[in-house]
Amino acid sequence: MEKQWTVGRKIAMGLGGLALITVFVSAMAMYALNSVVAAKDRVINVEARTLIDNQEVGALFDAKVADARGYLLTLDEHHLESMRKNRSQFAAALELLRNDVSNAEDKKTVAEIERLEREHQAALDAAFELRRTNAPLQDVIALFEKRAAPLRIEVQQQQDLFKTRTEQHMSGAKEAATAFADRMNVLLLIIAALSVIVAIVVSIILSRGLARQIGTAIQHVQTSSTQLQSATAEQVAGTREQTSAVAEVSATLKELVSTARQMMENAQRVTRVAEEASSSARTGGITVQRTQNAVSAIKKQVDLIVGHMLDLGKKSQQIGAILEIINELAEQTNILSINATIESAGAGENGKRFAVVADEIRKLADRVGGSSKEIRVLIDEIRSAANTTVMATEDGSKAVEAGIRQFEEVAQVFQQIAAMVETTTDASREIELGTRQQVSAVEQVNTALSGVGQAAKDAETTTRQTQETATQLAQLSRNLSALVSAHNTATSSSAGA
Amino acid sequence: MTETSSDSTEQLTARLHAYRDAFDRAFALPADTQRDPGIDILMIRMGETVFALRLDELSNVQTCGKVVPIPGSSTFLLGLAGIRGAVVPAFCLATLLGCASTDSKRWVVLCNREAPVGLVFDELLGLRQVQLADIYPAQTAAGQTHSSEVVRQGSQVVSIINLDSVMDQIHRPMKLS
Repeated sequence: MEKQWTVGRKIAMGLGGLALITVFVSAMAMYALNSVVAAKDRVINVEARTLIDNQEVGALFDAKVADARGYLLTLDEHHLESMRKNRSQFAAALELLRNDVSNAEDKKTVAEIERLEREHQAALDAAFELRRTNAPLQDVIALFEKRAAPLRIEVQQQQDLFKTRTEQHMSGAKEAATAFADRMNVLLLIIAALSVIVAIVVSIILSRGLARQIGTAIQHVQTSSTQLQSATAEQVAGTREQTSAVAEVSATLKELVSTARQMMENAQRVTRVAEEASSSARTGGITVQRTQNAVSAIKKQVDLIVGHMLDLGKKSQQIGAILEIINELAEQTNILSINATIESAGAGENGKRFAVVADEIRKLADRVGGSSKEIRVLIDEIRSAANTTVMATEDGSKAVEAGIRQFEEVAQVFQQIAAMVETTTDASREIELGTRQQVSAVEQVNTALSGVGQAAKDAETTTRQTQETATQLAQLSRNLSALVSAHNTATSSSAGA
Repeated sequence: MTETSSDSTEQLTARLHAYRDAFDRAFALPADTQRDPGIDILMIRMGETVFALRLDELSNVQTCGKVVPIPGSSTFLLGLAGIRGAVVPAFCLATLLGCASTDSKRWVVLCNREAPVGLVFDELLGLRQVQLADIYPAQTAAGQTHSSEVVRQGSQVVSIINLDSVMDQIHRPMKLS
């Protein structure tokens, strides 16, 4: 059962036992003290008060007697009133006295005093009556002395008796209280000794048990402190590495920030250049469009030229066809002239003049044939030149069309370039914005990392402190172990003795 | 206008005037003095070779129309042709002379004989008047058949076809091919 109890419970049980003993001792002491105090209070409150009340009664009675005398002497109502007042106070004081006393004898004494006071007052009243009758003062004095004085003396005697008895009671109470206090002191001493013995036993038992448990706990603490030391050492090393890593990362981030700023500046430059390129592309597109329009106009002119050349070719073909007709006519004329010459030769002398005409016709036909050949040559040259011109013009038209297509392609390319430049401009703006955000984020990261680094340093410091604390804890556990070992040795030695 | 074209125009204008003058002069001269004494020859071409025919041996010159071939005829007989309302046998002069010929436009001459005979050739070059002094015997003309004379035309020497020899060959007994 003891093994199942924890240290706290044992300590609690021990302290609880000591507390109970302390409470018991305290209770006994309080009882004794209260009893002594009550006894003393009784002595003080009851007996002393009884004495005081008795004295007050005596004083009030004497005052009353004095007032009676004064009235008897002067018949001053003031004295009478004062006497009545004193008598009233006397009655109240006597009542208090009656309440103070507890035994029958004292009560009897108080009753006697009250009776005597009444008789005394009756005597005084008789004297007052006599005095009011203007009897001789000597008579009054004689009556006073005869009736009132003895009663006064008896009252005083009773008061003295009461006083004596009260003083006896007070002395007895003092002695009883003192004896009770002595008994209580002895009892308290015994109880205190017992408490000390019990406390010693409990402490021995507790110390042994606690020593075992504390020894076990100390071993655990030593083991844990050792492990904590090693762990803190590792943590210190790790924190140091973390700090250095944070420093490296921070340096890298600074370089990254610098690089990001450069990238942002480059992006800004790219944006500006892209905007200029876009403007140039638009201008180039306008120029290309104008050039395209000019080339289209040239193409129209070239087409007109081609048309005219084709018409020229057609006309030359028509001329050639007419020339064919002329050649045919010339040939036919030549044939007719030859046949005419043949006929004229067959006609003999009569055909000579006809032969002349035939010769002229033949010459004419030859000239026509020759001229038609020349015309044919010229026509061919014209047609060749026209064809060449048409071909050149067609080549030029094709070149113009190719140029127009290329210009259209160039215009499309310019548009594409302008669009791509616009896209590039937008992208560069986004890159610039993203880079700016990146710089801000990296700076925030750098700031956070600085905080992390500082936290790492703080953690390193805390870990060192923990390490030192663990070392101190280990040292304390060793010291505590030494103390426990010394205590166990001392306890064993005392038990053996 | 270039200088060349302007010169050509002036030359043509001069030629025009020359033709007009020559034509007008022809009417001014007596008729019998206008013709130079000499003979008229007809210049023809067969393949790449130029030949000449005496005009006085011919009765007609014209383009050769449709020639209807005759089955089983000789190689130089092309067929029958309608000329001046008569059906005339048409012979290939190039084959008779043994020279190359082309399939170009064919001319035909009618020989001045009892029965009209047509000789077909490739091209009519024209009528020429040559002097008798320009005609030489064709003794040195090797490889040329049916040609006994040659005529000089400038730097060119042209064989004059002997139509009598050609007719003799035509009328010789024909061998079946």
